[in-house]
Amino acid sequence: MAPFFLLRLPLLPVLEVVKHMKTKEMYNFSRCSKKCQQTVRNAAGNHFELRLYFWTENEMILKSKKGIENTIHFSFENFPVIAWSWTRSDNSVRRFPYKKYSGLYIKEKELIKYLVETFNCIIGELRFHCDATQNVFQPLLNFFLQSQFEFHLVAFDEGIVNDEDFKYLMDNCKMKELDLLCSVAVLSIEDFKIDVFCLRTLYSDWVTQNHLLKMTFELGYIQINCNMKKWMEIVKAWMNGWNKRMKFALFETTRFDLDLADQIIENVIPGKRIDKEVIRQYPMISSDLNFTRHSSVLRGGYDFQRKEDGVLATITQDSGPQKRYVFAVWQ
Amino acid sequence: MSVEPEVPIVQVEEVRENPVLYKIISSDNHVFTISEHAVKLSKTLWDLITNLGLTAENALDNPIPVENVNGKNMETIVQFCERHKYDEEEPEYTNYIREFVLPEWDRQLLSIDNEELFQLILATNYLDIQKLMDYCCRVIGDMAKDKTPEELRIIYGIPTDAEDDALERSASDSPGPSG
Repeated sequence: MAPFFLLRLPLLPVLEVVKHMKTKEMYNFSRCSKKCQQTVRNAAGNHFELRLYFWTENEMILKSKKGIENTIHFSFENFPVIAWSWTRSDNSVRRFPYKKYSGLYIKEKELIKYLVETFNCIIGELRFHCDATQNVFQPLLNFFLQSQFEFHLVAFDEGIVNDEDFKYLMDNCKMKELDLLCSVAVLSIEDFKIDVFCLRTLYSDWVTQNHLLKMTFELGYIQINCNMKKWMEIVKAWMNGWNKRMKFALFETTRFDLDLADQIIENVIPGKRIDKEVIRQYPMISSDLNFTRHSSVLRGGYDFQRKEDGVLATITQDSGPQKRYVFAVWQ
Repeated sequence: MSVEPEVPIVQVEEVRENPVLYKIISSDNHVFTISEHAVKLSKTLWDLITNLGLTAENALDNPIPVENVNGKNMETIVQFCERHKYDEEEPEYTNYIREFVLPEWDRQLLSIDNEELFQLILATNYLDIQKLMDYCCRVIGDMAKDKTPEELRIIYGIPTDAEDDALERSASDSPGPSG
């Protein structure tokens, strides 16, 4: 059959055809020629986001607003399809067999630059494996800072973040969400303001009271190894004016019995016990955040007020499978 | 004695139910009748009808010449418009999301060879029929499914960068109208 000479059509129909393609086909089409790349750039609008994971094996995800089936995964060094990514079909992963021993991330940078240029996308998510990026973090971050300094999410996984690297990140970038699944010695730095803060260090003791009380956030998912005394101090600190920005947070710990804490709090914090039969719905903040979505129905709980302005808050055990407290501020 | 009409008149089945009919003449002098509801799917034709002041009384006496569309494509277009004239109005696209299922009837209608499809999309573009444009674009976009860049280059007849450069050079080297 004779070819369909797509590029001989007027521009608008060509763009329409490209908009009807899946992301994977748009990418392949863009690789046909410079003209095709330009066509994809014109068709792409602002509907793409790039998520970058720098782990022992690096992965780049081009995400379209069209939905999950329009997502492409690029993986380097034959990234295996592992458990957490079971939802994606195998053919959505493009593998780049390549050894990155130089630590310069040359191939990754080439691809990122190509995707950013071709799909007009912003880098929405940066996730670093602390050990894998230990000596290259700042130059790598500088590469991203050439095009943007604001990211939706920055995350550190596994290990210990170098103090200087963390300070460098906080000084040079803006982010809506910070996700720490690691240790950071300098977490108590001044002016620590994050909209969505996830701190997941349940099995290590490095988070101190000082750390917690220096940070402010609107939404929090705090998984820390804290005892009942620490927990009461957090509640008291809020009553005394700590973290006035906070709207909703989940505090999870394994150290103490939540039922016992519920009894003790009535003796320590002035407030009112709400019957378990009373169900209240906390107005939802973001559908993107799983932890807020599943915990917004409050059953009973303990109501108390901030001293300064009388703002009401409720703490109650989350109805989910994990043993954790919901801390909701009504404002 | 019956007299042969000067040009063939194509009757499309569905038009009979609608009392207001319009006549369209294609570039190769084929005459088509189309109902008011159907012709409204083409923004270009409906603008023309409105601007010419055609009404139920004088519409059939004033055929509309469409010089950019041949009879074969016009027949497909009239069939399409009659088929979809009572469709509910599609919700506006959010500029990028183009999610719909292409009905089997339309897929069959558009199962034509690439050259015909090319001419049909040009005609659709000219007549500004959004739904048919979407359906054509979906059919053409689907050709790319699971294809490599090398395969796409063949399917869409895409020149390489070197060929594009050579073409541009020869275009700039060739003398202009006065040269």
